[in-house]
Amino acid sequence: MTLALDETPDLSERRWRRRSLWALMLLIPLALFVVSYSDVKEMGKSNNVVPIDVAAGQSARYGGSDWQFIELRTVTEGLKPGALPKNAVPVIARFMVEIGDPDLKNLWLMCSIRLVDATGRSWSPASVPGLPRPAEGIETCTSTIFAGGSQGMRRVVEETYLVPANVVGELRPTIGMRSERPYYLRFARPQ
Amino acid sequence: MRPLGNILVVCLAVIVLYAMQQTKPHYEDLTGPIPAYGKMHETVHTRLVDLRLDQVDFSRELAFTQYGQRKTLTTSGLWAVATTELAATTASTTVAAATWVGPTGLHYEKTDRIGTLSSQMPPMLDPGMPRKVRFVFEILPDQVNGATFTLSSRMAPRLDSEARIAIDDFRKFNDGQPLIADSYDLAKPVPVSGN
Repeated sequence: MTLALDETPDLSERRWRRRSLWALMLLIPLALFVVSYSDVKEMGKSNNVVPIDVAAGQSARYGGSDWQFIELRTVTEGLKPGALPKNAVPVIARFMVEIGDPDLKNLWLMCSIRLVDATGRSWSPASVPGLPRPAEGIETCTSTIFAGGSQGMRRVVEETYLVPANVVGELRPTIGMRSERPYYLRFARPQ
Repeated sequence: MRPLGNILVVCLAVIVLYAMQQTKPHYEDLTGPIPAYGKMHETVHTRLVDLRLDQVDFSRELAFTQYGQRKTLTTSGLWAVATTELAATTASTTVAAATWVGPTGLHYEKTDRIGTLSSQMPPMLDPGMPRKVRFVFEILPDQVNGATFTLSSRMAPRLDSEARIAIDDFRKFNDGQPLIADSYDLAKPVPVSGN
C-alpha cells in the first residue's frame, strides 16, 4: 500500500519529518522525566536510598546536628516471661547528639532510626510492654523535636526495638530525615 | 488508486483502534493489586508480608473483654474469625486491609463493631517474628462456601501485591454447611491446632 505522503517531492519537508521522528527519541524520555520528576523526588525524600557510612566511634553531621552512635544494648530486666513473642529480644539503641541548627521542627521532620541486619531487613522502633521508662532527659528522635534544644547542647536519643534474638549481633542503626534524604547515615557497631 | 488506498488505510486504522478500545484492560485493572494466590495452611508471600491462614471459625455471637467488661455482640448474619500468622518480609510494617470476599463477589471489610480492642488494631509486624493475628468479619451465611480471604498492607493497593487465599478448610457438615458455634471468645488465646 502506498501512501501519498511518501511521494512528497519537497526534500526539505521530508528532511524535517525525519528530524521530527528522531527528536521523539529525545522528547519522549524528556516528557516522562518532566512528568515524573516531582514523584521521584518525593520518593527519594521518603525513603533511605544512599547510605553514608559512619565509622565506629565517629560522629557525623546530619539534619544540622552531630550524631554519634554510642551503643546497642539488650534489655532483660523488667520483662514478664511470656509477654513477648518467643525468640524476640528488646534492644535499645543510644545516640549522642550535639545540636547544631536548633530548627529541629523542620530539619528532623520524618526522623526515623531503624536497625538493619546483614541481609538488609530493617526494624522500626516498637513499644515493648513492661520496659522501664528511660531516665530523665532521654528522648526518642521524634520527641526530641518537641523537647527542643539550643545550639551546642548535647542530648541523648534512645529508641527501643523488638528484634529476633539471632540477628542482634549483626544489627546496625540507620538514621533518615526528610531534610537529608535520599542520603541516610549508617553506623558501624563499636568494637 | 491512491485516494482509494488512503481511504482503506483510514478504515483499517478505525477498526484497529476500535478493537483496541473495546478489548483493552481498564486503567484500574492495569494498575490494580497484583494478586498472590494461595491455599489455607500454606505460606503466601506478598511484597511486605508473609502470611498463612491457619483456621476459620464461625459463630452466632462474638464475646470479648473491653476495659475490664465482658461484651457480647450478636448478629443477624454470621461472625467469621480468620486466624492468621503474619510476619513482615524486609521491613517493619502493618496490615491495613483484610477482606472477606464471598462467592458472589460481596466484599466484607474487617468489622468495626468491636471498637478499639487492642487485638483488633492494625497489627505491627516485624521481620523474623511471626505473630498470630485474628481478623473478624460479619458476613451473610451464604457467603461462606467458595469465599476468599484477601489481605494487603495498604487500603487500596495499586501495583502492589495482595494475598488472596481460598477458604477451603473449615469444620462443616456432610452437606457442606459450615459448623457454626454458639459463641466465639476473642479474649481466649489464639487456638494453635487446626481442623
